[in-house]
Amino acid sequence: MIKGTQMKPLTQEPGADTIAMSRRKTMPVWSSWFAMIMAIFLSFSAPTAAQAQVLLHPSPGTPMARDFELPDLDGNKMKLSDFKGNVVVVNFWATWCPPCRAEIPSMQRAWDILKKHNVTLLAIHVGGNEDKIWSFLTDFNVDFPVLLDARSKVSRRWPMMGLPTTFIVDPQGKIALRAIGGREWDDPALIKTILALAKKDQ
Amino acid sequence: MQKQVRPSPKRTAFIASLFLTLSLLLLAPLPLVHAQSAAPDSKAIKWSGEGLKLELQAMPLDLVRAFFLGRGFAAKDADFIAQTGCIFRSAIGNNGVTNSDQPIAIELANWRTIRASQRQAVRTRQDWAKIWETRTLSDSAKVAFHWALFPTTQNYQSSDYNWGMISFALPPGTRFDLEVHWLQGGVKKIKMLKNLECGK
Repeated sequence: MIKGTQMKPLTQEPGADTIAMSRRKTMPVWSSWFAMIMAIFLSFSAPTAAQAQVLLHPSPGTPMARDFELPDLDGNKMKLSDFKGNVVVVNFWATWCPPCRAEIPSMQRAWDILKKHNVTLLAIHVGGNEDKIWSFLTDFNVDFPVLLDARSKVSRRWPMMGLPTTFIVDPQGKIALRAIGGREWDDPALIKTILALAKKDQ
Repeated sequence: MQKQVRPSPKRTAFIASLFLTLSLLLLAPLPLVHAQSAAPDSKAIKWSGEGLKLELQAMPLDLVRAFFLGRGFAAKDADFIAQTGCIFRSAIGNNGVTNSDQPIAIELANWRTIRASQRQAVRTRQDWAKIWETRTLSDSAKVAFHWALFPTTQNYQSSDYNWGMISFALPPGTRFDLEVHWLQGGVKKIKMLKNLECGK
């Protein structure tokens, strides 16, 4: 388990984050409409930075991660087992889930660090509608692999109940750690823990 | 290994214009049809204690309809959810303060609404799944509905939380109290939230 100080607690405002970031860009009208709905939909309050919290917890039973094969947005298929021997961060999300949207920018920043250390990040979008996903990812300049679980077949087999949920799979293919709910993924303590899993195997 | 997720400008423009058109088509009739059911100025209910942190807010009917229309629901099904669901948006998890080393467990099926001494269970994902068996829903709508609803059971370590909708299955505008149940370190906890009101 790791501790950090930047965690977004339950009463975070993902909608507000999204809108603030969105307004800095030239966005199509439909995005403002969507952001407005999301803002009304969920209005968490600001994080308490002073509160040290555990950000990642051991996954109960440390089960083997179920392999999957899913297409990316270009239709190219990827398997989890393709990355055996690496630490893999597997994030389940959806464009219409406010905390999922809120954590995407920090996930991209984390990816900029993690990819230099042979850590893989796979973001699995639960449900279809590639067009909405494309435009959302473009807004945030996301360049980590995004896979489509259109019928939720993979997400229903993994040990998760809600979105977002993120798992850290160790080089042996076991689910070592998990996070239920959104996080600031570029939190230094969180990055350190993920990298420690990779180093443990060397 | 890493794929660049960069759609072409042409494709982005096409998608944006397509989605704008669809959004306008979907939203345009709503204010006309449902002008009488103006959204109430519903405030979020926030509570934290004994390991639990909770936020609830009633969703106005038009917002419920708009959300589900956008997820591929037919208008009749989106309206059915709005009219019968009493949908609250929620964020619930471990407050990370009170005995934060102890996980909490939530079993939504144990929660009860109380009005005029009548106790009623929450309408969970499983209850809704039975309802959808009697109506025709697209696969994408079923997937969206499942994940949009708050999980029926979940364990939360400190800093863990879930987001989702909770359905109380009461008519629009109904006032009620809510008995919230959870376990902290295996010990039963109850909190009564007073005077909630379904969206209208």
